[in-house]
Amino acid sequence: MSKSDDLSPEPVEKIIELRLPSKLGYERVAMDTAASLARRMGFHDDRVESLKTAVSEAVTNAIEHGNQQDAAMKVVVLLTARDDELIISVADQGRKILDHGCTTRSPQIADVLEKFDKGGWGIWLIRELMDEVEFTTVPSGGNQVRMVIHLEQ
Amino acid sequence: MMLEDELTVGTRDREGVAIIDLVGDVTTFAEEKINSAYREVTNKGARFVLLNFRQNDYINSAGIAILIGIVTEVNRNHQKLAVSGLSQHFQKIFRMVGLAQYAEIYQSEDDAIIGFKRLNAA
Amino acid sequence: MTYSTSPITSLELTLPNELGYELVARDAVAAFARRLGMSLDQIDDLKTALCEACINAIEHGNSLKPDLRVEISCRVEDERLVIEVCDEGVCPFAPKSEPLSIMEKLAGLGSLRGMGLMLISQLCDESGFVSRNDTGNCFRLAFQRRRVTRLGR
Repeated sequence: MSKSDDLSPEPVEKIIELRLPSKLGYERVAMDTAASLARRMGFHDDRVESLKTAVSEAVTNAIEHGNQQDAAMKVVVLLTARDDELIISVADQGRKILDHGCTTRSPQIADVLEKFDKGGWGIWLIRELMDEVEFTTVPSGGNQVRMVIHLEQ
Repeated sequence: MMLEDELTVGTRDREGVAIIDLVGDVTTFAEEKINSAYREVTNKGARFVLLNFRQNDYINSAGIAILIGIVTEVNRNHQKLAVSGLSQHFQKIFRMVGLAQYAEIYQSEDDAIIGFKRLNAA
Repeated sequence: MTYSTSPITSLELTLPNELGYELVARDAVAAFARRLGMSLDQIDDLKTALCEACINAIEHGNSLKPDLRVEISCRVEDERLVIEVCDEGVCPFAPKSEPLSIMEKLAGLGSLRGMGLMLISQLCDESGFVSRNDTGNCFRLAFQRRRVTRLGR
């Protein structure tokens, strides 16, 4: 690849943002949106199905635990499409922080699995199904999970 | 990175009917492929042309505009045009835009072949 | 901030201004409509109308500029599903008052395109541009909730 005339532009990324009601059942909207995008990016059916499950778990957690099913709160899902990967982040507005016993800002996954009253399996499933997973707490308050799925060529 | 189910177009002949199979999105980006398939079958002398769609594909108004363009050519070339394979919803859309007046809508390819045969015999 | 006795169930999404993304929006809104119990036939109409409205926003309102966004909001209002598709209005959408009929198009009297608004108005119970304080075209589609009349369900 010649460097002289190759301007190497910034990797192109396209972002879709969804704001969902904190009501169970609406995780379906996030699942179908993510699946629609992933299919069109060229992901195979089995990866799309994995993605749907992971998104379902993440959004359900956000609705039930993060937002405590408070209808006034939203679950914010960001889908970032790049040439070789799809990044999905799911954020709640954090009534209930995941690591409610822990003082660290970024909970270690082991702590989350131990202290999380429900949905521990959900988090395990997300980790199994996605290529990269990161749990954080946003400064404004709220849990965020960032999941990445790589596009195989 | 284009977000599309890129249209694949195939042509074949069945019992004297030139069938153009359309699989994928029928949008503004489909223009060249559709027109080129139509030219190909016309150059081979096709009198009956069937546009065969796949049920779950996406057809938008830009795609419909391309099909109206085909109708213009079909009229000019004294051919007969029909469509098959559309979902009920898209059959309704075709009627709304007035395409049904210019292209017979059949449920299936088999129905279309029978329909064309009747026309030919008439 | 408005207070209401029953929080409105709403969905918001924003898209990159690129043709093709209307399909992801379509699937998001369809999932929302399914969750609300809308009939499949009405959802088919909604999907087509929404795609056409998004294409207008992408191509005309936002003049195909890749850095701009399309914003879609969906909410239930008085037994109707109300959807607004808003662009950043670089170019105010000035549609022709009377669309050409297919006969006129075939006679070469004008563009073969321009059927989107006609399709939208036929598929929706209500549709039209709404004014906004900030710049941008905003197009509203509404679908009336229909009572299921079929027996046995």
